[in-house]
Amino acid sequence: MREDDEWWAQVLGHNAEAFEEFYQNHYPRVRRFLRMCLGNVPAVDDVAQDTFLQLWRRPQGFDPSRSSLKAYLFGIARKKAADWWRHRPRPEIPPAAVASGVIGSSLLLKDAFEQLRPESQSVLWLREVEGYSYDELALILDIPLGTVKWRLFAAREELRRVWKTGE
Amino acid sequence: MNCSQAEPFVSVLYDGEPLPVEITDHMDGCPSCRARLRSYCEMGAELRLMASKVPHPTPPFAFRDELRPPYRPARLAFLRACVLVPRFALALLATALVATSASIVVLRAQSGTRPLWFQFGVNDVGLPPRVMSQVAHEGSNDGWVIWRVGNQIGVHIAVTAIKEKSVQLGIRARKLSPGEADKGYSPEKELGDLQDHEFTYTVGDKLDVPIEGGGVLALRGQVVDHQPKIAWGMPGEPDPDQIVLTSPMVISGETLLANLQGANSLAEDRNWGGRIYVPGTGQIVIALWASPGAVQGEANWGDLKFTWRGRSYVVRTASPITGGDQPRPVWVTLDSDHPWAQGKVWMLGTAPLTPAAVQAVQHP
Repeated sequence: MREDDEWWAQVLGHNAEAFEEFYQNHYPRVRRFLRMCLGNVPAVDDVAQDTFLQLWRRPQGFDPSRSSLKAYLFGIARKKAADWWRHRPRPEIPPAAVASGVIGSSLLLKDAFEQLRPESQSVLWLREVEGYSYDELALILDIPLGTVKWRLFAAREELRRVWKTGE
Repeated sequence: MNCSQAEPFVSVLYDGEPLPVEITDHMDGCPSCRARLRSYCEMGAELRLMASKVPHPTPPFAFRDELRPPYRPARLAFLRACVLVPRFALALLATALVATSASIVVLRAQSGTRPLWFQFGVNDVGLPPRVMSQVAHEGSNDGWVIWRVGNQIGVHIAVTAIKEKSVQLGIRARKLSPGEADKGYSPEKELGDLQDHEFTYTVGDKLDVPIEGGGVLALRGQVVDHQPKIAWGMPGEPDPDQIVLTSPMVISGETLLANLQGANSLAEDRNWGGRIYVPGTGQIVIALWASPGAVQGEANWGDLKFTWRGRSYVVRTASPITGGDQPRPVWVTLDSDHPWAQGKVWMLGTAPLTPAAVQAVQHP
């Protein structure tokens, strides 16, 4: 039995202790992903908690034959982040504010990354930091494989353009 | 094959996926496509570097109540309907239960293993710290706002560590723009760009917290080894013209819509009502006087029942909701289109009921 299957069986069986352990193991990565999607807002923790709550309430939404439990979790997080954005549009960041925050190259990249559209941030983060394959990205983001490739390209180009402009 | 045709495949190559031969042939001798590939490598490395710099402690799961068996009032109703017990026996049972719980609390406190709680109140300097108050356990990141006529302040408080004599706090506070009061509290919007300021509160002292935009908040509190049900400064027995909501739960049918353990609010003027915001349901405002659009409900100590558009609701609190003879009528509105309805955070507070109060909030 895969580790994923074991976790899922425990969550399906409403084993609160196992779920808390799963939560402890995966919360930092989910939060980090949401932190990048939403920016530095207090709502990050709410959305992250909401993500786990959904898994706890509706574990039967996960199909082990289609993806890993972790990928499924990130899929929920991605949808929650999209919901958040729909209801709370991000205020414009004046160019001066971006420039003033520049200290090192990673800070500059961070600024540039934060200016990307949410869908670009998600796909880039999941690929570059979380290391998901194209197939897994298609499941998490709920888009066709071809769109994954195109969106990754578009996101990289967008980041490259913003990043280079800021340098 | 030219660069514009090959460009999208640079990303695919970077991801280690197979490419058609004509694309790889082009990239072999194209400085522009190679520069693009180098940029992607650089960006990927920077992103991973950036990710490794954002450590964050994992807070406790906020919906711990969800991990317990679901609330089943119907089963209790069944028991009530079928089992006849003399009143004195019930009273005896209740006394025994209270005595047993008290013993357990004492025993656990003596063992020293119980987590500590911080019970505190915060207010403008010079006013009693009772209008907004909170209990929090270590690591809680509760945030809430104070609306004050003539002085609107947004406050977010995180309790990071609790010791017997001192408490570590992360606080951000800002004077909000006039007219924002009834548009809904949005901590991200109002306070998201501020950094938490770290404070050490010494139990027994008053902590002055500077407010961005001018002014000072006074914070006082105490450390306790159990979760207090009545918050700092809240009356245990409300007056007949007060509405007190202590750790309220909102229930409809068999569904627990809200469980605001540790949260408290006090409305003590006929211009104000108690307000509970429930995500997905809307804003519930409870008043002691009739107002246009409100339905009559009934408050009976810690229970309040009302029906809104054919659906029955119960608000159950940890202390009497209001004073005077019980049961007594109250008036309730449920606004599902309230701007806060878009939020995902349960909230508790007071709501302006009269034009004078609304005017005072909007034009302090």
